Parts: sequence; C-alpha cells; structure tokens
Amino acid sequence: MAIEAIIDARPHRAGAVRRGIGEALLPVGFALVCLVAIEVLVRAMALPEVLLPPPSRVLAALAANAGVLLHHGILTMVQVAGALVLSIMLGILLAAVFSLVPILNDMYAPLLVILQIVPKIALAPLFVVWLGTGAPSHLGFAVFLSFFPMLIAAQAGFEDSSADAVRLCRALGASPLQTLLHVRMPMALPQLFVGAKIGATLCIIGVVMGEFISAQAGIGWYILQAAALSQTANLIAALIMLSILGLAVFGLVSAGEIYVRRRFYG
Amino acid sequence: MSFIRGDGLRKVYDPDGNAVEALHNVNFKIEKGQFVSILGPSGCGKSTLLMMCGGLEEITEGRLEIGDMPMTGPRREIGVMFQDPTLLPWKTVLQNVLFPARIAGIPIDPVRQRARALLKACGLQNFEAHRPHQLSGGMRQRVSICRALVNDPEILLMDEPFSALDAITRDQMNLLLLDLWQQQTARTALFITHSIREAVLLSDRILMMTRRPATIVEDVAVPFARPRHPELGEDVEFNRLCSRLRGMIEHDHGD
Repeated sequence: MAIEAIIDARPHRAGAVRRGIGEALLPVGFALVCLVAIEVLVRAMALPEVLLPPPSRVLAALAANAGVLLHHGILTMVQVAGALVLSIMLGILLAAVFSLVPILNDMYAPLLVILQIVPKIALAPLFVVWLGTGAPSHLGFAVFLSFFPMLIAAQAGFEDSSADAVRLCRALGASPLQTLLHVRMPMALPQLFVGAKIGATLCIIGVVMGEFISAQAGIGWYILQAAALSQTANLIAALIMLSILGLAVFGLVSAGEIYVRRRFYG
Repeated sequence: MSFIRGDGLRKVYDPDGNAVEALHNVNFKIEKGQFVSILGPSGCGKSTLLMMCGGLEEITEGRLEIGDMPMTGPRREIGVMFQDPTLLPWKTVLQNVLFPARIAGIPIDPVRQRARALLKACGLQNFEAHRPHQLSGGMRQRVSICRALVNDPEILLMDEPFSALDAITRDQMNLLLLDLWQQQTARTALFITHSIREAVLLSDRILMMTRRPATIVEDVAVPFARPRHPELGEDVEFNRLCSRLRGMIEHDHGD
C-alpha cells in the first residue's frame, strides 16, 4: 500500500516539476532571444554605448559592480520593507478605527479619496521639507504612496467577514472590538495580502522616488549618479539589481500569503 | 412563573417600505427544564422567533421575558446553535469550543476541562487538534453543540441544527442530543425543526406554527417517559402522535 503510494507519487511529482520548468522556459527563452537580438542590432548599427549599451556590457557592469550595487540595493530594500510594514499597520489601523467608529469613516473617507486624486509624485518635495533629506522622508513618501490600497483592502476584508461568524459573535455578547480582533481581522487576511502585494510595488516606487529627490546612498541615488556620468551600462545594471531585490520583497509577501492559506484551509 | 414567556409577539420586516409580517400575536410559555420544539413549515417565521429569544432579532411589538427579565439583547446564559456550524477555520476544534469562554473573558483553564469532557461525550476526543476543514459535516455540527454548551448555559437555542445533514447522520445527531440532554448538560431547550419524528423523539412539548404571518396554533404534550431510547421510534403511540401532527400540518397547508 505504502510502496504503491510512493510509486504513484513519483511520476506525478516529476510531471509537476517538468510542467514548472516548461512554464519558466517560455518567458526565459523569449527574453534570451530578445537580448541576443539587441546585442546583434546594437553592434551592427554601431550605436554609441551611452545611448544603448549591448547586453553583454551591461552584464559585465553588473558583475564588476555587484558588491556596490548590492550595498545600495539592500539599503533601498530595507527602507522598502520598513515602509511596507508601516503602510500595512497604518492601513489596518485606519480601517479598524473606521469600522469601529462609523462617524469617522463618514468624516474622513471622502477626503482620503480626494487626496488620492492629487498626483502624489508632485508632493514628494514636500516630504523633504517636512522630514529632511534622509530615510525618514523616503519612508514617509513611500507610506503616503502605498497606504491607500492597504486601507481599501482592509476595509473590504472587514466588511466581507461571513455574516454567520459575525452573528455568532453577537450571540456570544462580543463587543465590536472583540468581533474585529477575533473574527473580522483573521477573515480579512487574504484581502490584506492582496493589498500588501500592491503596496509592496508602490513602496519600491516611493522609496526610489525619494532617493531621486534627496539621498546620499541607495539604488535610486546610484541610478541618478550613473545617469549624470553617462554610465548607461551601470544604470541598467542598477535597474536589474532593483528588479531582483524587488522580486525578493514581492516573493516574501507571497510566501506569507501561502503560509496563511495553508494554516487556514490546510 | 414561567421561565420563558412570550406575550403578543409581533415581528414586521420593512426592508424597502413593503412591510412583511413574519410573526403575528405569538403567545407561549416554557417552564424551566423543558425541552420544547417549534414545528412548522419552512419559512414560517420559526427562526425569527428563536432569534428573538437569543436577543438577535428586534421585537416589533409584544413582550418577551426570560427568567423574569425582558429580553433586550444577547445574554451569556443563553447558548445558540445555528443551522450552519459556523466554526472559525483558523482555530482548532478545541479552540473553537473554547471561543465563547474567550469572548466572555473568563479564565480558560477550568473551562478547558469541561470542553474536553463535552468533546469526549460527542466522540471527538481524538480530534481536538484538528481544524474544521478536516472534519465531516456531522462532526462539525457536533463541535458546534460543544461550543453552545461550553459556558454551561441555562438555555440552549437550536435553529434547525441538523437540517443540512444526511438522513443517517441526522439520526445519529438526534440520539447524541437526546443523550446529552438526558445527562442534563443544559437546562431548558428550544429547538426549531421541520422534522416531525425529530421533534417527537426529543421534546417534552411541541408548539405548532402556521404559515406567514405565523402564530402558534397548537401546544402538544409529548407523554413518553425519560430516559428515552432509540427504540421509541418503533412504538405504536410514537407513530400515532407523529401522524396526528402530520395531519395538523397538512390541514394547515390546505387553508
């Protein structure tokens, strides 16, 4: 019986792995073909390197500056992670307050929507004025940029809670706060992860924007320096580093989501 | 003095200006220690009446007293079992049973003993650490019984708790409930059902309700001595009472 199960499982697992490789192969292969095409075109047309360096040069720049890029990249990502945590906390806190005190929701919710219509990038210099040129202004701007989807996701999640579970809480004489903590919040977790995924990408944009405006380090600062010195290969290498680290942050959020789903539904 | 007492209860739902009268002049009395079923066709307002007793539904008109106090909202001495087990999916079986104690803010340790004993009585002693999605429908409803009883309620309200289960599981659940009841795990019970046999097996009295606007038309005593056993279902008197009740329901449908 047990042996049959193992024999049974083996081709299945192998099949899944093969399918996974197949799915990855398609986009990776396409990207490689594109890179080769760019390499050939750039060399054939003898484009100046400042305009568009061939991929091989970018790769060389990435390898040569890996240590420096990683240093700046991690500096940026620590701020991104910090901003994401702050943004999640702020979004959940606001949604909780709005859910417990409906009059505050009626007072502030329309104003928050109006705030979202203002092009937020235009407000970035204001954060430098308020919080100085360092990490606080980057964090502040990133949180400002990313808390709104968190708030919306948390509100949707709290509202979504199954009516049966909320009725159970009422029957037990639970207070609104108890209902929020014991039922609405855990039930909102899947929605919160949707918000956190959107929030993570917005935090990356926010921190890099902040670094563009005022910074002495970080990947945004590095990109600006490379552009000023016309080191286009270094600039693109920095973008690649940013993408890899951004993917890692996004992956961390997704891993958290998978963990929570497993815990909830097996 | 009756323990639960309804006087001229009326319920009107008015969602969009079209008033619907769900309950009309409902009067009843339940003595302490009685197991009373409310029997009636689907959608006749039985659940509305039960939810009023649980403080979960507002009373449009009339007076409802439980233990000499007018009903104004949910009370901790009342345990409720819903049609759906309503277990929290991220909590284990034991944590789900302990949930009412957690909400009440009472020390958990003494309650844990009681919760374990209840789970054992329901044959779930080996499933304490399981999560709801790992259980069958009948097992989930058994967890829900344990949860309703964990705070040792004076009154147990049950809203068609077994109607979503298959016939065999349902019979088993009826016997389990009969057993728990006869061990005096709760003191007074109000049970909603549309199954005649279920009502006769479990109850001391059966209140018959008519269609909307619903009111109580008959109060039938069930004379069988306790402790009752499953064999009661083959008794001639038992089946005679069942057909008499069926006759009343069909007569009502004919109107």
